Amino acid sequence: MSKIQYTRALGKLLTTSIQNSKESVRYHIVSGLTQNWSVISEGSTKAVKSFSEQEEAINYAKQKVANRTGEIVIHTKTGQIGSRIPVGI
Amino acid sequence: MPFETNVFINCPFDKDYVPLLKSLVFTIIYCGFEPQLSITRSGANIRINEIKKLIKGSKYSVHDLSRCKPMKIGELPRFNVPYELGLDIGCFEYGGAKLKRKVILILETEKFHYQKVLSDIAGQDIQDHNDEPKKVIQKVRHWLATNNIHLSFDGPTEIWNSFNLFNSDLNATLSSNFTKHEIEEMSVVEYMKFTKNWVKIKKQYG
Repeated sequence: MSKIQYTRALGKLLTTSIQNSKESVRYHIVSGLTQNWSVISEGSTKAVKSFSEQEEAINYAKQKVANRTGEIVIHTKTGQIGSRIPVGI
Repeated sequence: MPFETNVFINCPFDKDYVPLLKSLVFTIIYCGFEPQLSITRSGANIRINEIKKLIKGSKYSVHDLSRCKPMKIGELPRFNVPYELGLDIGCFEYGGAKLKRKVILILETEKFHYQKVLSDIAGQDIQDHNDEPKKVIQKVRHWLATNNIHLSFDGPTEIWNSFNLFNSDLNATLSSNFTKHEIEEMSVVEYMKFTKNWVKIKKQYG
């Protein structure tokens, strides 16, 4: 039995994260619909760039975060969170 | 329950199916429709009566036959999904004028698997998803768009990327109070509520 119950407060918190997300330095590595890996900036649903290998996509995202503090979120092929890599200073 | 936007979902509710169910529910909500699942109803009524009500009250139905076979050695195939598919086709065939407008999508893992086990459904709209959530999103979005040409729909990549970002936001929001396991095990009812909230705000903020 799940312990998570939807509440207005949690729902509001979730939507706050979308509204503030454009300010965060966070990149998502998402498996594309074709055989590729997309780098998506937080607050957008459009790919910044796509790569054939996941490793290349992660390296590109690390370069984008360079000199700042941020995070790279790597998604699994099912769309869930695989891992989070803190990067930057 | 508005008939025109209701989508009855007939699928397994086991743990292995959860990633596909989440993508299915997310796509339906994202496209502006309302998922109808028997699992979201209270247990007071006899389950099949609740299912009949959902079928009758939904213009659209998605039936996933992908688990109508043993998934492991020693496991038995399950027939609830084809049984409810039969009820839905019967509702369409023998119901009144309103029910003649029902639109049915059948999903399966591999193309043409149904021909071996349920060949009488040939001629229905049958699509394969290879057990991949991204394919579920593509196929369901395309089916809804094809049957609603007067409405505009975001592309499959936009919906797939949104699904990924939603899962990230949901994890980030809940992670201070819940474990990763608890978040993964969240009931579909709660998942739908969070999805509706997120999609509503996402569409407002573009």
